[in-house]
Amino acid sequence: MNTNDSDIQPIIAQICIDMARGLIVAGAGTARVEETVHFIGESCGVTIDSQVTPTSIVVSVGDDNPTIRICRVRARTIDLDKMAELNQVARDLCKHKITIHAARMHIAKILARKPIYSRFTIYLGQGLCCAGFSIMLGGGAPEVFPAFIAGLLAQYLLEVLGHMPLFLCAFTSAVTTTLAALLAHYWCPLFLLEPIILAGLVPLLPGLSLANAVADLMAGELTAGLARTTEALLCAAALAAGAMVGMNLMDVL
Amino acid sequence: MTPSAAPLLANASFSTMLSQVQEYLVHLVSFYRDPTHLTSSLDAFLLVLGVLLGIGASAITFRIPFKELLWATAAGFLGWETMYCLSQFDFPTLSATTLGAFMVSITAEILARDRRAPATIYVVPGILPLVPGRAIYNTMLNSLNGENTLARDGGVQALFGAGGIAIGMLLGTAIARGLMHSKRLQRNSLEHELQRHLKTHQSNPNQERRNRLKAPKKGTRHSIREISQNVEERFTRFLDNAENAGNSSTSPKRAKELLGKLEAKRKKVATASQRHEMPVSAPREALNLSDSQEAYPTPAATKHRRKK
Repeated sequence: MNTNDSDIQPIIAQICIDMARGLIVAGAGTARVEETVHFIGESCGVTIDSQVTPTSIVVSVGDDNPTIRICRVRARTIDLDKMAELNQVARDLCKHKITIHAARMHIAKILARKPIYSRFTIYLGQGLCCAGFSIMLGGGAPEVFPAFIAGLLAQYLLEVLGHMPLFLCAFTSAVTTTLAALLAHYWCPLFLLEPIILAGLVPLLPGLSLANAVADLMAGELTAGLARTTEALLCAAALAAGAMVGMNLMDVL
Repeated sequence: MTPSAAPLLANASFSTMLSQVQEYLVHLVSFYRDPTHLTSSLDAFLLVLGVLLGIGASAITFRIPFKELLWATAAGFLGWETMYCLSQFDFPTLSATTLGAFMVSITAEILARDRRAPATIYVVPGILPLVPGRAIYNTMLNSLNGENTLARDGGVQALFGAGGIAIGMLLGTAIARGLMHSKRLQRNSLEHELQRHLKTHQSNPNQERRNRLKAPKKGTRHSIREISQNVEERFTRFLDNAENAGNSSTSPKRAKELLGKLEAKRKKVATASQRHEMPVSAPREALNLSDSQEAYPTPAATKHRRKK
């Protein structure tokens, strides 16, 4: 054989760390990421161990003289497309449909790729999402339009203000939607206030984060579970604070 | 008319226009709110439409692959429908939420195995309509107004709602993993695929490594280095065959011809691998999550998509 263990270990470690980082950044759960890494190692015929938290990844490959890689994750988003693609690569690698070199190239390409939907589509999606939820949360046909505008505005403002920490993002969006809803209400009092504000806030709520956190805690992943709980609580607190500030501003004006 | 009055006039006309629009809107909204004009079926239709729109649009903001958009919406709608119907029949909100989350989760697991995508894709948008947004909002509003008892009640409700969603999802996942007996769905799960693969190759631990060096299937892309290794391996076999042919001396001329061919091919492969040798470690900027260009200047890899 041309390839020996010392040659192949760093490559597998590289693949595992890229895969894990891509999955975590795309918003996958830690247990799922560890599972994927484990499968990759098993299919390549090496012993592998990993420790994945929402903020850091450690992978060690090999028995004696192991290769150990550490990776720090600073920002997380939700990008389901990237998650699906990375999962597909992992599947193919496990079935030996593609070689490890090809897999590494695929992963690098996926991580460097632009998001699949344009910015405009995302604005529109956020607006429509708020419009739909305003009906669901007790509004009628009239509330659709202010909710649409509120969602659009919040998303646009987030893009304009650039990359911010999670807390500030949630805060800004909450303030914007609340102000938009209150303006609509004061302009035409027949617009119900509650559905519009709620519709603006619900897509921002960290529901999945909290659910993931409880799932992690129950599975015995204490570090990841606590980290995710903290993130979710912080986000919820920011939303509440933002809505409060919006209402108080409106009272003052 | 003095010139200073002109902007005032413009303002006045704008405000009259605004008030006209407002009057029209008030008329429209009051017409809508009048229950005699509309049947409840239209309201229900609107509600369903709103929920579908909300789930689908939020899935797009989470950048779901377009192929899975319809399925994710369906999974989310099923969960919401379960919750809504149960709460219409005076089910407690907490149990209704839990069962809704359970429905979303188990639908997502089935879809994930059937369509070979991670289950999270279907769960993320589907869980949104179940989140206790109203409870959180009420908590916030009540604590703003200084009504602490009501705020505490709302907070407890919100926390329990989140716990209920988590428990429903856990139940769904556990049942899907433990009790899934459908052969077709089992065959598609990642774990099963791997186990079957390991079972077939258990006799020879080096088989995996050898498999990696096998001739590539049509449509898969390998690095030039691997291909050249592969080709060399086959040529050594070829060389042995040729030498054997020479030894048995059926035709020395034929053996010479074969050896010449081999040399030429080897040279060709060597130059090719020199030209297109892949870098051993991926360039660092290619792995950063910025909107940079393509990772490699080499011809674009075949777009890696699920084939059904």
